[in-house]
Amino acid sequence: MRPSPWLVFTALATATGAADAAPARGRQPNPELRLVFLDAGEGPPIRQGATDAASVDLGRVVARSCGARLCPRTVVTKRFRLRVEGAAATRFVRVSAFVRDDAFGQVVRIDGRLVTALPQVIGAATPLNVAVAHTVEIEVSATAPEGALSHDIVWQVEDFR
Amino acid sequence: MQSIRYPKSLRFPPAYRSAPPDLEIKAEPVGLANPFQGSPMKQLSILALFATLATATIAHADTSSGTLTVTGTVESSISLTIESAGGTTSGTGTAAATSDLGNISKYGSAPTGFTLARGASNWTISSTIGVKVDKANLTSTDYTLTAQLGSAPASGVVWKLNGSSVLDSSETTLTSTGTYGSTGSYSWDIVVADSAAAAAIDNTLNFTATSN
Repeated sequence: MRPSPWLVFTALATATGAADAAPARGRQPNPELRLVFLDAGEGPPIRQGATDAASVDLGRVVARSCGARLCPRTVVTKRFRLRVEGAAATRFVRVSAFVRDDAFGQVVRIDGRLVTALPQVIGAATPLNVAVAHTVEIEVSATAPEGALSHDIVWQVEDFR
Repeated sequence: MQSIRYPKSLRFPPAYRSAPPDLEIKAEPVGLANPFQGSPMKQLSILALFATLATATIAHADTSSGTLTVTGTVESSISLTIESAGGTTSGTGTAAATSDLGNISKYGSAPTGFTLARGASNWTISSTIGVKVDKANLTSTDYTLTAQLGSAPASGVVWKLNGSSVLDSSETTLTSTGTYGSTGSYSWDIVVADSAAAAAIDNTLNFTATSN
């Protein structure tokens, strides 16, 4: 009698789905993990709001010149460091980020990776308690309206056990 | 006919007993082949399946999150460039172009890019100036363009743009509905009286674009 490969396949497919869903079911806030945003140098944490929150001001964002003309896009860059503090057993965490808002004509990138409303992995294995340098880029199109610029970039860390 | 016995329930082999009890898998005789019957390879497949299920279920993650808020102010801007002009011109495509007309006279040749018209008591060299205005982060749909001479013209010399005299004391409006991103062409005339002294006519045309 031939084996029934579809049975195994079906069961494995179910198992794979469970693997994807398991972290979501098992996710729980870990107060031991704390995100600390530091400036690019050796300075203190950049302006802190609430716990695990920070804010940076890019100041005036004006279209740059490409030769004698205005560039179609202007990119403003801010470097900073992120340190994930924790006493967890694991020494690495996965760091991902997403933006809460979506402003017309503006694009957010972190370390060159496009960041949207869907979480984007920034560091698949980020060491705990080590400040890791990152670059956030805000690209402003010439067609974007003038006015206040504000992006909430939410950083998530996952500690797998 | 061969009779096949199915186990009513399959429990984890010893190696996986640490898995949660809710991972018990029950096999019902629904006409499928007995997964335990046959070669050891088939049994290995089932064990691999168990391992996958066990691994998938016991994995979990602790999470934490933080927010980095990036703020700033996007400011609007416009740029003006001289795209073309009569004479031997340098710096086109920038905001500071220079046009050299060389030596000009009523009965001589017209400078490069110019035409020469002789009148009864004066003469006029004519060309055009192309001006382009671009915008960024601006909702305005058009702009006003003015021009003004940088210094008083030589006696007997009149500078005109779009048919209007351009002075050093006040701005002359060339258009109040300029279109962003396209080059506007404006007629440029220099009228020289026959009575004007032979001398340099050097001057500067200053253009100013203002968004409406």
